[in-house]
Amino acid sequence: MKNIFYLLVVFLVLFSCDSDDDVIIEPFVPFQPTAFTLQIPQYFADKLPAPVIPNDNPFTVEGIALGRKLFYDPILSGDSTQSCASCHNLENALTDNNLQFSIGIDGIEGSRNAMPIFNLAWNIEDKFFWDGRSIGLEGQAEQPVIDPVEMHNTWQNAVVDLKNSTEYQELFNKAFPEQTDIDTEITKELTTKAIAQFERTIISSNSKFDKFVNGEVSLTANELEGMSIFNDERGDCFHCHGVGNNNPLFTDNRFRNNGLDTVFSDIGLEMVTDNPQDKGKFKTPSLRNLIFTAPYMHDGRFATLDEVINHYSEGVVISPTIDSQMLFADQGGTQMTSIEKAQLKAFLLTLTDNEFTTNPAYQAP
Amino acid sequence: MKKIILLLIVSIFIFSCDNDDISQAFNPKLKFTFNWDGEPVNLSDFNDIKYTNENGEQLSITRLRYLISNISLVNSSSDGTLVKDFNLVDLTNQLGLGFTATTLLPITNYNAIKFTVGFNEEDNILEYPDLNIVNWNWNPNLGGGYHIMQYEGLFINSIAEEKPYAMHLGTRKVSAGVYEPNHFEITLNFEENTVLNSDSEIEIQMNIAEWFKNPNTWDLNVLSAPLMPVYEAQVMMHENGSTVFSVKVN
Repeated sequence: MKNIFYLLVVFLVLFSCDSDDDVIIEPFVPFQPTAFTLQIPQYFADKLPAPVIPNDNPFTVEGIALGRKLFYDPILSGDSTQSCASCHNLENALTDNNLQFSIGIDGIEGSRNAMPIFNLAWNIEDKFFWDGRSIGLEGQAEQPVIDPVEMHNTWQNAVVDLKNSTEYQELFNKAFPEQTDIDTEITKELTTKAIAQFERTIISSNSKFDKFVNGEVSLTANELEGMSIFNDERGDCFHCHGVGNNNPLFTDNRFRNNGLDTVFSDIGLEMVTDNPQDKGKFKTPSLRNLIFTAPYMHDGRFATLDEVINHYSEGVVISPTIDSQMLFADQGGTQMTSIEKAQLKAFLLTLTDNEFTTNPAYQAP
Repeated sequence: MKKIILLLIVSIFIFSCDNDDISQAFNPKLKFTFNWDGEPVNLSDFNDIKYTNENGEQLSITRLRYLISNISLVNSSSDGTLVKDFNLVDLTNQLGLGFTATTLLPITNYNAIKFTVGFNEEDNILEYPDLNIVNWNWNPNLGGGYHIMQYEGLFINSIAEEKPYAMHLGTRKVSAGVYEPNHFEITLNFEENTVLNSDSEIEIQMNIAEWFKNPNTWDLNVLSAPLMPVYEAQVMMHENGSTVFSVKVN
């Protein structure tokens, strides 16, 4: 009798389970961001290795869109008045409006010239800033937010401001979705990942020189001669900035003392490595879009391209860490004639990419 | 019982095959080192005028990188099995100073390692994105392709001034549009009965001082920089390069 009773209980439990199954519970399906494939210009694909894209921060359409919005939004600054774009204006190839030094939210001037932002996905050493102090674009994006002479904020505050925005919450949910039905936790790491994704998409590859390489246009006689000067000892530019036909970046992203000073008020790379042999070394910048990026050098000391060319021609000074590829340092530079200088300048200006500075994909969303 | 015996035989056969495959093959390991007449040269020795060349000039080293290609191991049954297509040895940036090849080679006696210093003519016209991005290209007006070596520093000249020197090796320009290749082949013999296996490390040594010695005693007061367009300097570097390399198996 006892056994029959147990059997009945078991049956009841089983039947009650069956009736529960009639209630359909929809399983949670996490949002899947849309994968994004970077369109690499053929000239870059032919000449360069694959871009540096971290495994833990792959491109997605939603991530790039979020990064772009963040780049142009003053929400990250201490008083919500400055965005990344305040000092990185697309019309100036993402430099600071021809200013020598950028001015932060407190009206304080920085001490280095704002660097341009393009073709950074090919920075294979992945070191950023003039002194290479940040690893990865994600690491770079952390810095201006908390720099007291730039956005002068804390990441804690910036993240709180983002969390208070329903729009941003939705954008983070889509860019970095959770696997369960909860909001994505907005963090500094995800914020910088999104900005880095956007910055990696920024490519400048449509200058007159690019079109020349692609066989679409011809260079003038002066421009061609300028290219020869660039590539030989008269200008001796190519050791640091590459043979243009082969290195579309016009930099190797390495750090050099290019003979600007004998005494250094800014020790550059040495600040990061603590190695006196790195004193006065700064990142070799790209030579693309020079027409938009004045003034020049890490401290913006040269207002014009002519001044830059004059420096390399007769203004180089020697110090213990001067780069040994400044072959003519002992005579002050390469000693170009005025005609050679003009031809070199003509060539450098063929690296102007007007399509880049007006590209809608890089403008404010 | 019959089945068990059969299973045992099959198992022994399978295990013995596995062991043989592993024990008879290895991935060659290479290491690249530098010395000045036997004294090791490392990055920490850079930027210090502490070396004296054959001609008596005191000098420092500030940059040193070179390229070798078609790196092959030679044994009695093969005149050269390719280990790696090319390797840019960059002491300055501490890159390419060693590698383990992906090629699996038999564990046996090897006689020598051989390689081309630079690229041969056929390879020098190909595209190498990994070299383009580190500015390894040779001036197109001097024949193009890629550098073979960039070795730079400062020396004290005959009137006691510090001057730069730059031993850049690459295609030789004879005249406008006329060029000569400048790569050279090196074969470094191992000691007799050298068996290479997965514990072996082949150390390619460069004696930097040799660039200034044999057969040409180099006078930096005459040839220092720029040397890329100087035909005579390119020939002399090419000739002196034949004695700079040696090998040791660790």
